[in-house]
Amino acid sequence: MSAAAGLLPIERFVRTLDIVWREGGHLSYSWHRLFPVPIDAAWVTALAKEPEAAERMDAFVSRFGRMQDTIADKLLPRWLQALAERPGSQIDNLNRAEQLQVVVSVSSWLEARKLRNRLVHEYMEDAEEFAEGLNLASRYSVILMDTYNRVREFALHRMGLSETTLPAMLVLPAPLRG
Amino acid sequence: MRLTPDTCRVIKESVQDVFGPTATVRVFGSRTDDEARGGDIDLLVECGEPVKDRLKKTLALTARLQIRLGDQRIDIIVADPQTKSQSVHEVARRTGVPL
Repeated sequence: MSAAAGLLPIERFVRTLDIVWREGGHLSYSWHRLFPVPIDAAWVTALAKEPEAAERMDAFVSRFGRMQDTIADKLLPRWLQALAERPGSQIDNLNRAEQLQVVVSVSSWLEARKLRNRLVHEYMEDAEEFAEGLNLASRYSVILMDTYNRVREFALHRMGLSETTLPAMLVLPAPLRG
Repeated sequence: MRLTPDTCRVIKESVQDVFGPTATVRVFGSRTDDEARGGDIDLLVECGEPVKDRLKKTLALTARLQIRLGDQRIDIIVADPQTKSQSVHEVARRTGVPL
Protein backbone atom coordinates (compact mmCIF):
# COMPACT_ATOMS: atom_id res chain seq x y z
CA MET A 1 0.00 0.00 0.00
CA SER A 2 1.46 3.37 -0.97
CA ALA A 3 1.99 6.16 1.53
CA ALA A 4 -0.69 8.17 -0.26
CA ALA A 5 -3.37 5.50 0.26
CA GLY A 6 -6.02 6.44 2.73
CA LEU A 7 -5.48 10.17 2.30
CA LEU A 8 -8.46 12.38 1.58
CA PRO A 9 -8.40 13.92 -1.91
CA ILE A 10 -7.69 17.36 -0.41
CA GLU A 11 -4.77 16.05 1.63
CA ARG A 12 -3.38 14.30 -1.40
CA PHE A 13 -3.71 17.50 -3.43
CA VAL A 14 -1.94 19.59 -0.77
CA ARG A 15 0.84 17.02 -0.52
CA THR A 16 1.33 17.14 -4.29
CA LEU A 17 1.28 20.94 -4.23
CA ASP A 18 4.11 20.76 -1.73
CA ILE A 19 6.13 18.50 -4.07
CA VAL A 20 5.59 20.92 -6.94
CA TRP A 21 6.66 23.83 -4.72
CA ARG A 22 9.94 22.04 -3.97
CA GLU A 23 10.46 21.21 -7.63
CA GLY A 24 9.80 24.86 -8.47
CA GLY A 25 12.48 25.95 -5.99
CA HIS A 26 14.98 23.59 -7.62
CA LEU A 27 14.03 24.73 -11.10
CA SER A 28 14.42 28.35 -10.07
CA TYR A 29 17.87 27.61 -8.61
CA SER A 30 19.01 25.89 -11.82
CA TRP A 31 17.50 28.68 -13.89
CA HIS A 32 19.65 31.23 -12.04
CA ARG A 33 22.76 29.07 -12.43
CA LEU A 34 22.30 28.70 -16.18
CA PHE A 35 20.95 31.92 -17.59
CA PRO A 36 23.24 34.71 -16.37
CA VAL A 37 25.20 34.20 -19.60
CA PRO A 38 23.44 34.56 -22.94
CA ILE A 39 23.01 31.15 -24.56
CA ASP A 40 23.74 30.86 -28.25
CA ALA A 41 25.10 28.27 -30.67
CA ALA A 42 28.71 29.04 -29.66
CA TRP A 43 27.86 28.41 -26.01
CA VAL A 44 26.25 25.07 -26.92
CA THR A 45 29.24 24.03 -29.03
CA ALA A 46 31.62 24.92 -26.18
CA LEU A 47 29.78 22.51 -23.84
CA ALA A 48 31.94 19.69 -25.20
CA LYS A 49 34.86 21.24 -23.32
CA GLU A 50 32.91 22.57 -20.33
CA PRO A 51 31.63 19.61 -18.31
CA GLU A 52 30.43 21.80 -15.45
CA ALA A 53 28.34 24.00 -17.69
CA ALA A 54 26.99 20.85 -19.38
CA GLU A 55 25.96 19.54 -15.97
CA ARG A 56 24.20 22.81 -15.13
CA MET A 57 22.40 22.62 -18.46
CA ASP A 58 21.31 19.03 -17.81
CA ALA A 59 20.10 19.91 -14.32
CA PHE A 60 17.99 22.72 -15.73
CA VAL A 61 16.51 20.56 -18.51
CA SER A 62 15.73 17.74 -16.12
CA ARG A 63 14.10 20.02 -13.53
CA PHE A 64 12.13 21.77 -16.26
CA GLY A 65 10.79 18.37 -17.38
CA ARG A 66 10.16 17.06 -13.89
CA MET A 67 8.12 20.03 -12.71
CA GLN A 68 6.08 19.93 -15.89
CA ASP A 69 5.39 16.21 -15.50
CA THR A 70 4.38 16.53 -11.87
CA ILE A 71 1.99 19.40 -12.59
CA ALA A 72 0.35 17.77 -15.61
CA ASP A 73 0.35 14.11 -14.49
CA LYS A 74 -0.24 14.52 -10.76
CA LEU A 75 -1.11 17.98 -9.53
CA LEU A 76 -3.90 18.87 -11.97
CA PRO A 77 -5.68 15.48 -11.70
CA ARG A 78 -5.46 15.59 -7.89
CA TRP A 79 -6.63 19.17 -7.82
CA LEU A 80 -9.68 18.17 -9.89
CA GLN A 81 -10.32 15.22 -7.57
CA ALA A 82 -10.15 17.58 -4.60
CA LEU A 83 -12.87 19.59 -6.37
CA ALA A 84 -14.90 16.37 -6.70
CA GLU A 85 -14.41 16.45 -10.46
CA ARG A 86 -13.38 13.50 -12.55
CA PRO A 87 -9.97 13.97 -14.18
CA GLY A 88 -9.70 13.10 -17.87
CA SER A 89 -6.87 12.99 -20.39
CA GLN A 90 -4.01 15.42 -19.98
CA ILE A 91 -5.49 17.80 -22.56
CA ASP A 92 -8.93 17.58 -20.89
CA ASN A 93 -7.38 18.49 -17.55
CA LEU A 94 -5.46 21.37 -19.08
CA ASN A 95 -8.63 22.63 -20.77
CA ARG A 96 -10.52 22.49 -17.48
CA ALA A 97 -7.63 24.28 -15.76
CA GLU A 98 -7.76 26.96 -18.47
CA GLN A 99 -11.52 27.42 -17.88
CA LEU A 100 -10.85 27.88 -14.17
CA GLN A 101 -7.94 30.25 -14.96
CA VAL A 102 -5.32 28.08 -13.38
CA VAL A 103 -3.64 27.58 -16.76
CA VAL A 104 -3.39 30.68 -18.95
CA SER A 105 -3.01 28.88 -22.27
CA VAL A 106 -3.38 25.19 -23.09
CA SER A 107 -1.43 25.68 -26.27
CA SER A 108 1.58 27.18 -24.45
CA TRP A 109 1.48 24.21 -22.12
CA LEU A 110 1.51 21.77 -25.03
CA GLU A 111 4.37 23.73 -26.60
CA ALA A 112 6.35 23.44 -23.36
CA ARG A 113 5.63 19.70 -23.27
CA LYS A 114 6.87 19.18 -26.81
CA LEU A 115 9.95 21.25 -26.07
CA ARG A 116 10.65 19.11 -23.02
CA ASN A 117 10.48 15.97 -25.16
CA ARG A 118 12.79 17.42 -27.74
CA LEU A 119 15.34 18.60 -25.17
CA VAL A 120 15.25 15.33 -23.25
CA HIS A 121 14.71 12.59 -25.80
CA GLU A 122 15.66 13.85 -29.19
CA TYR A 123 19.28 14.45 -29.76
CA MET A 124 19.43 17.96 -31.08
CA GLU A 125 22.30 17.92 -33.53
CA ASP A 126 21.97 21.51 -34.46
CA ALA A 127 23.67 23.80 -31.90
CA GLU A 128 21.63 26.77 -33.11
CA GLU A 129 18.37 24.95 -32.55
CA PHE A 130 19.46 23.58 -29.18
CA ALA A 131 20.29 27.13 -28.05
CA GLU A 132 16.87 28.31 -29.24
CA GLY A 133 15.35 25.41 -27.29
CA LEU A 134 17.12 26.34 -24.06
CA ASN A 135 16.11 29.98 -24.42
CA LEU A 136 12.50 28.94 -24.98
CA ALA A 137 12.66 26.63 -21.96
CA SER A 138 13.87 29.60 -19.94
CA ARG A 139 10.64 31.44 -20.81
CA TYR A 140 8.36 28.41 -20.48
CA SER A 141 9.75 27.91 -16.95
CA VAL A 142 7.69 30.93 -15.99
CA ILE A 143 4.53 29.21 -17.19
CA LEU A 144 5.26 26.31 -14.86
CA MET A 145 5.94 28.50 -11.84
CA ASP A 146 2.97 30.72 -12.63
CA THR A 147 0.70 27.66 -12.88
CA TYR A 148 1.85 26.55 -9.43
CA ASN A 149 1.11 30.02 -8.03
CA ARG A 150 -2.33 30.02 -9.65
CA VAL A 151 -3.24 26.58 -8.30
CA ARG A 152 -2.12 27.78 -4.87
CA GLU A 153 -4.23 30.94 -5.15
CA PHE A 154 -7.19 28.83 -6.23
CA ALA A 155 -6.71 26.58 -3.19
CA LEU A 156 -6.58 29.61 -0.93
CA HIS A 157 -9.45 31.67 -2.31
CA ARG A 158 -11.74 29.26 -4.10
CA MET A 159 -11.29 26.11 -2.01
CA GLY A 160 -10.94 27.96 1.28
CA LEU A 161 -7.74 26.19 2.38
CA SER A 162 -5.79 28.06 5.01
CA GLU A 163 -2.48 29.77 4.26
CA THR A 164 -0.76 27.75 6.99
CA THR A 165 -1.51 24.42 5.28
CA LEU A 166 -0.12 25.55 1.92
CA PRO A 167 3.47 25.91 0.73
CA ALA A 168 4.69 29.45 -0.12
CA MET A 169 4.35 31.25 -3.45
CA LEU A 170 7.16 30.76 -5.95
CA VAL A 171 9.12 33.87 -6.88
CA LEU A 172 9.58 34.07 -10.66
CA PRO A 173 13.12 34.82 -11.89
CA ALA A 174 13.37 38.62 -12.08
CA PRO A 175 14.19 38.95 -15.81
CA LEU A 176 11.06 37.00 -16.68
CA ARG A 177 8.52 38.77 -14.48
CA GLY A 178 5.76 40.94 -15.86
CA MET B 1 -2.29 6.50 -46.33
CA ARG B 2 -3.83 6.18 -42.90
CA LEU B 3 -5.04 9.72 -42.28
CA THR B 4 -8.59 10.82 -42.99
CA PRO B 5 -9.21 13.59 -45.57
CA ASP B 6 -10.37 15.79 -42.68
CA THR B 7 -7.15 15.23 -40.78
CA CYS B 8 -5.13 16.01 -43.92
CA ARG B 9 -7.06 19.24 -44.39
CA VAL B 10 -6.48 20.28 -40.76
CA ILE B 11 -2.76 19.55 -41.09
CA LYS B 12 -2.40 21.52 -44.31
CA GLU B 13 -4.34 24.50 -42.98
CA SER B 14 -2.44 24.55 -39.71
CA VAL B 15 0.94 24.34 -41.48
CA GLN B 16 0.06 27.33 -43.65
CA ASP B 17 -1.32 29.30 -40.67
CA VAL B 18 1.94 28.86 -38.79
CA PHE B 19 4.54 28.82 -41.61
CA GLY B 20 2.82 30.94 -44.26
CA PRO B 21 0.79 30.20 -47.40
CA THR B 22 3.68 28.91 -49.50
CA ALA B 23 4.78 26.25 -47.01
CA THR B 24 4.26 22.67 -48.17
CA VAL B 25 3.85 19.56 -46.07
CA ARG B 26 4.40 15.84 -46.57
CA VAL B 27 3.41 12.96 -44.34
CA PHE B 28 6.07 10.27 -44.05
CA GLY B 29 6.83 7.31 -41.81
CA SER B 30 4.36 4.74 -40.53
CA ARG B 31 1.24 6.72 -41.44
CA THR B 32 1.99 6.23 -45.12
CA ASP B 33 2.03 2.45 -44.60
CA ASP B 34 -1.47 1.06 -45.07
CA GLU B 35 -0.51 -2.18 -43.31
CA ALA B 36 0.74 -0.55 -40.09
CA ARG B 37 -1.46 0.60 -37.20
CA GLY B 38 -1.48 3.70 -35.05
CA GLY B 39 1.90 5.36 -34.81
CA ASP B 40 3.23 8.89 -34.72
CA ILE B 41 2.28 11.44 -37.32
CA ASP B 42 5.58 12.43 -38.97
CA LEU B 43 5.52 15.59 -41.02
CA LEU B 44 8.09 17.32 -43.20
CA VAL B 45 7.32 21.01 -43.62
CA GLU B 46 9.25 22.80 -46.38
CA CYS B 47 9.50 26.55 -46.76
CA GLY B 48 10.96 28.42 -49.72
CA GLU B 49 12.18 31.29 -47.51
CA PRO B 50 14.36 31.13 -44.40
CA VAL B 51 12.15 30.65 -41.33
CA LYS B 52 12.62 32.82 -38.26
CA ASP B 53 11.94 31.28 -34.82
CA ARG B 54 11.84 27.86 -36.38
CA LEU B 55 11.67 25.82 -33.19
CA LYS B 56 9.04 28.09 -31.63
CA LYS B 57 6.88 27.73 -34.75
CA THR B 58 7.39 23.96 -34.78
CA LEU B 59 6.20 23.75 -31.17
CA ALA B 60 3.23 26.01 -31.94
CA LEU B 61 2.22 23.80 -34.88
CA THR B 62 2.50 20.64 -32.76
CA ALA B 63 0.30 22.17 -30.04
CA ARG B 64 -2.26 23.39 -32.56
CA LEU B 65 -2.51 19.96 -34.18
CA GLN B 66 -2.79 18.20 -30.81
CA ILE B 67 -5.65 20.51 -29.85
CA ARG B 68 -7.44 20.03 -33.16
CA LEU B 69 -6.74 16.33 -33.78
CA GLY B 70 -6.57 15.04 -30.22
CA ASP B 71 -3.56 14.23 -28.11
CA GLN B 72 -1.29 12.08 -30.23
CA ARG B 73 2.42 12.00 -30.99
CA ILE B 74 3.27 14.40 -33.74
CA ASP B 75 6.84 14.86 -34.97
CA ILE B 76 7.60 17.72 -37.29
CA ILE B 77 10.76 18.43 -39.26
CA VAL B 78 11.07 21.85 -40.85
CA ALA B 79 13.38 22.48 -43.78
CA ASP B 80 14.15 25.88 -45.29
CA PRO B 81 16.86 26.91 -47.78
CA GLN B 82 19.36 27.24 -44.91
CA THR B 83 18.78 23.76 -43.53
CA LYS B 84 21.66 21.37 -44.03
CA SER B 85 20.11 18.44 -45.82
CA GLN B 86 20.26 15.30 -43.72
CA SER B 87 19.33 11.76 -44.65
CA VAL B 88 16.03 12.09 -42.77
CA HIS B 89 15.02 14.95 -45.09
CA GLU B 90 15.87 12.93 -48.17
CA VAL B 91 13.92 9.91 -46.95
CA ALA B 92 10.95 12.10 -46.07
CA ARG B 93 11.04 13.78 -49.48
CA ARG B 94 11.39 10.53 -51.36
CA THR B 95 8.81 8.48 -49.45
CA GLY B 96 6.50 11.16 -48.09
CA VAL B 97 3.01 11.87 -49.40
CA PRO B 98 2.41 15.58 -50.19
CA LEU B 99 -0.81 17.03 -48.74
